[in-house]
Amino acid sequence: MVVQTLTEKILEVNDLSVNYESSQGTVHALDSVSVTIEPHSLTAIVGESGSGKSTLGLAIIGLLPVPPAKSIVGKVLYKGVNLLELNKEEMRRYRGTEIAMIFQEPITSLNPVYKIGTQIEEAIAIRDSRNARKSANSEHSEIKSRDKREEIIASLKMVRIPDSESVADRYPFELSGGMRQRVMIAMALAQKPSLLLADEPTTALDVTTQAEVLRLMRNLMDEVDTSILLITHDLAVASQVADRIAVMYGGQVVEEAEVNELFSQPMHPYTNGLLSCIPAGSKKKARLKPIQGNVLDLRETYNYCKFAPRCPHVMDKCWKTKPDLQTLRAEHRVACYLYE
Amino acid sequence: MKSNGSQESRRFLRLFLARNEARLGLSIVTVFLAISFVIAFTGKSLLPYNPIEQNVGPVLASPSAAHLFGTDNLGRDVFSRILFATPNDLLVSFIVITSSFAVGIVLGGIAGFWGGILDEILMRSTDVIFAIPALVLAMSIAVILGPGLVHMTYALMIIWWPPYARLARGEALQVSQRNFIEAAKTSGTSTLTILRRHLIPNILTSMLAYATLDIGTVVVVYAGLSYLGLSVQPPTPDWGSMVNAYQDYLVSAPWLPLVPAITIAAVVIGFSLLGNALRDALESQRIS
Amino acid sequence: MNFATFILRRLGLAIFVLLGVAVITFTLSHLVSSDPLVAWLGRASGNPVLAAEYIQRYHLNDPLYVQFGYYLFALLHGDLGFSVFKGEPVSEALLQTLPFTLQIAFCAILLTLAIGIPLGVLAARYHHTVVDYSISGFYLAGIASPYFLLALFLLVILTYTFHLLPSGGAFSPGIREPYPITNFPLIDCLIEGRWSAFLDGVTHLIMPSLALALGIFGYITRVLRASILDVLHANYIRTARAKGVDETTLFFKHALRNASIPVVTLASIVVTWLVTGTLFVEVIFAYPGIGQYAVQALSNLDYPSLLAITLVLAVIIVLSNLTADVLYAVVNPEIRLR
Repeated sequence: MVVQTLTEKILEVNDLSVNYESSQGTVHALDSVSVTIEPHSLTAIVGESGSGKSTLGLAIIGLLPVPPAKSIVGKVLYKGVNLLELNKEEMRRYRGTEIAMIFQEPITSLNPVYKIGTQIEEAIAIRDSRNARKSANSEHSEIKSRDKREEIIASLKMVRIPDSESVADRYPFELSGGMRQRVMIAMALAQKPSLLLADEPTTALDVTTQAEVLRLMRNLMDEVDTSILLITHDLAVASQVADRIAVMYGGQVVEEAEVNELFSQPMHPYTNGLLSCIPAGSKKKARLKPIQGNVLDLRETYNYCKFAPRCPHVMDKCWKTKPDLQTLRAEHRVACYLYE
Repeated sequence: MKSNGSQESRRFLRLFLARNEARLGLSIVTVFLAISFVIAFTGKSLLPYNPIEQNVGPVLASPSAAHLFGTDNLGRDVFSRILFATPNDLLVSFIVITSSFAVGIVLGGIAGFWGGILDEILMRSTDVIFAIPALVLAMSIAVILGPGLVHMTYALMIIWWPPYARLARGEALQVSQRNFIEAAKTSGTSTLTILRRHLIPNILTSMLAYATLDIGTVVVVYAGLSYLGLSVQPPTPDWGSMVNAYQDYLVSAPWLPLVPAITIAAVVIGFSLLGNALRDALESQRIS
Repeated sequence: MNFATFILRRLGLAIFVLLGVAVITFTLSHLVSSDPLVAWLGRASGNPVLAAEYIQRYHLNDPLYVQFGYYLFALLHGDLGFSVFKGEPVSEALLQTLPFTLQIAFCAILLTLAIGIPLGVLAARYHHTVVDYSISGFYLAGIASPYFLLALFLLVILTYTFHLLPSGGAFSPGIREPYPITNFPLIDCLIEGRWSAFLDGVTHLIMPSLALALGIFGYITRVLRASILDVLHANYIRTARAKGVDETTLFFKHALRNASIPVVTLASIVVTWLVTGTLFVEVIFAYPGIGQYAVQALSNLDYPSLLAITLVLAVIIVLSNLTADVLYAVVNPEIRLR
């Protein structure tokens, strides 16, 4: 394992742009996105459908389906290594044990014909074989099956799955959605990655289970040496567990700040819009305030601010050039002409 | 609702015809259907030679300009015989498929929609019929009824309906359990209207694809029965019986048994391509 | 626990179906002619000794339901009537011919899998390329061709053009038939240690089995190809990639295992076509199996044989469906445990 100093960032995305080829033209899914993730932190990427957040996650772990994805430009620096310059086999070595990912639909994300224990065992085996290759000596060539089984049970216990002994021998269809998502988390963390990407992990779950899984992820991050990148469309979800939040719109990061800072001093008009969308149940007769305007068409290239058509504070300048992401006070970045 | 329907069907047809499979299959099928119609209306008159007349050319002549598929052991023109036999296979298939379709929809629709003991009876009867291969069952029935084109058609009609009943039942079951049936019922629509507006279109579309593919299967089974001598008797030509009659000449005049056999395969391939394309197109329409 | 009930239920259904088939053959036997004796004895019904014996044994003068009872009784005891043409009881004839057909069937299934599975994998791997389209064309031609076409085609090429394989029969003339120990001629050759006889039998086996396999493998290829393509888009494949699984393991351990499940459901179609095809293939290759027996019975109006063969084939199909159901439950844990 690479020894890392406390100040070295886990992930640094620099000017990442991704284009998709579709039957109706080129879709600009990501437009010069830059984001960093500190060690031991939970960063949330928040955006509506089409904001590019899932694309960002898949691009980081190298699972973008290459047709239809057409061009991937920029840098994705993981512990200093640009992942975009690696070939397929080299990238594969990073998946699982360095960067892990869990996905949105837990119901279909586990292989239906293998037991839970078998699937976790596979993850562990990959980790062990990679560790054995790294440490040039092969002292632990035969890991006892009993130890393996214990580790599998332990990983299930870690995600607070009740009755882990029997769950390990069950098939995925015997578990509920929430349980399956926990298994996914267990399986991902069993490989001891430094970075865990979570793409809408709680969207398919009911509200109670959602809160439990989020809390679990937060607690685990403190127990295990992993940083988390949480991708979600729900600002409220992000606020429950994130240290930092990056708001995306139209394939760009429009605002990024520490969570309390973002909620107390939102700067970008889009962020403001999102915050007012969260229903405040205490007020009587409060109307929901949606963001006016229509969803962005990503097939177009924009030489101006993408949010301009919907912005309540739009100025002439906004229609002429695109605002860059600028750092204002205390690690708070915004891309908006209101602040230039 | 109505205008949407015809718009959808036009769009569907356009997409469907754009596929290679559909065009190839449709061309093959059209050729054979055209031949059948012509023969049905004009009989032997438009054929190059009289298919039953012997010695219109030298015996066992190889294919040539005069005789496209050569002549057989009795000097009959093989090409004319093949053409003349075309309506047989196609007619039998269409009749069998149509009757199976009709019987299947009725039985399956009732069983699936009402469920209960009707459903059980249907399922068990189809299970029993499925257990006996079509060919063998048709053979047994043929032995009782005696040979002949009409008798073979009857035999096949008796045994061919179960898959259609099953399909119809499956669709009826799905539809009857869907929520909008409840909604329609509560709004006071009569059961008959429910059937007409929701059940029938669904069943028809999914069974249509299967039926097109199935035509090929009937052709093969019928050809097999004909090969075994259970259908038309000599000298009337029929593809299957021709193969049997000519197979001793496999070494000396290989085109004799091979041409009718390949013709059968060609018809089946045509309907298979058509049916495949239809099924794929219907599925993608269903998804969208 | 649920697995056992599953099998029991399937078994119950199988027995019910066989009963239904017996009803059908019984009905057919009475439709053959107004005299039920004809169904049992065919042309031998004129023979007073046999007639008296059969009337007495099966109570052919009693009402129908009684007759049916005795019919079932007879079936369970292996009495299927007497074949004048063969000059022996039908059960004897079946015992002699069935093993040959089973040999062909076994070999045909092996060939079908050997051709169908790799081609299905290839078609999926190179989908929508020339490879895929040629494979499609190949199997479509196979499925569409009537079995006698495939048989004749093979004969022309392998026997008459290249002189590679014999034209018919189970063994070459001059080879002594093996002593019936298991009743399976090829196995008996092996048991007797007659290696050359065994090889000879195998060369006679290849073409009939190949003819059948060429007509059936298409179903497997088509379903496998579609199934693999389906599975490769599944979410759990994405999860496996995210875990760092390599592409080979991904394909064989994760994708193929799931993709093969629908293929098992093809078993009943395969068996049905095998049974149908074997009739023609055995006639053309003069292979002394149940198919040839059936065709001979047909031309000789040998009713007892024909009806008995119908029953036996139904039994074979029901049994193989049962096996296929069990196999499916083994392969798909969801069926097993729900």
